[in-house]
Amino acid sequence: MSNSLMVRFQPTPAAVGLARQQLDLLRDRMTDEAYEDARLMVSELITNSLRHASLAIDQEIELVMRLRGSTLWVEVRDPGPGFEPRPRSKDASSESGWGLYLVARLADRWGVERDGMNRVWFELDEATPPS
Amino acid sequence: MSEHAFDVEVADGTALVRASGELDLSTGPVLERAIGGLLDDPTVRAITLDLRPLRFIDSTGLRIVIATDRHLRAEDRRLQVIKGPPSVHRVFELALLEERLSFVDGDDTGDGPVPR
Repeated sequence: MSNSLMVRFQPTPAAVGLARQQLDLLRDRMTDEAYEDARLMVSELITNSLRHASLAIDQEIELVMRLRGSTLWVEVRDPGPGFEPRPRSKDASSESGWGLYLVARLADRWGVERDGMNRVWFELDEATPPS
Repeated sequence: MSEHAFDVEVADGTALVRASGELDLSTGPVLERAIGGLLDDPTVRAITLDLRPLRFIDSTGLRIVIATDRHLRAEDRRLQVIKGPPSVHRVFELALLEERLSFVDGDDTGDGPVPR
């Protein structure tokens, strides 16, 4: 089975659940914790694209996932105008910015890049059970 | 598409909202509408949100719970949240919302009347 996959979604709210389902393809090679964490982070990255990128219906969101050794790398790409990554502050009265805050807490590394596409990625170490 | 259901029961001024399935950007609006009707009803003094049947929650769900709590508090009404399974409750812990919301364990309430 391949260690890498790329899927495209129309920019509708259904993409959030559909993107999470893609992780099921790697499920049997991941620890329970990594699987749950990755589901949450994939959900947040797709939600982030849908909320901030103002995509037209023909502008698809790409999800790329790869297991390299024991590290899971995931990237979500969209062609929208982008956003300023602002993980929420400690001020718990704010209701925005939770998504990237959760990604920042769970990922070993994450980042945002813009090169014509917006790319938001994260890496999760020790995503596979020790052999 | 995520399967989901949000059931509402109202008795004696307390509404019980049971959330099942997966709570995210696609299902959140359904829950928001269900809760919105309760917020607009002044005879509803308290809402109990039962997360035990919920299988997944992300920041969209957190935002709905927090907004509901804020709305009710501002009107001297209250929200109580029955903890979901560990994978769901963990998201509240990660977001440092444990202290901010009134959580109860499912065991504290059983299947009997909704606590006031």
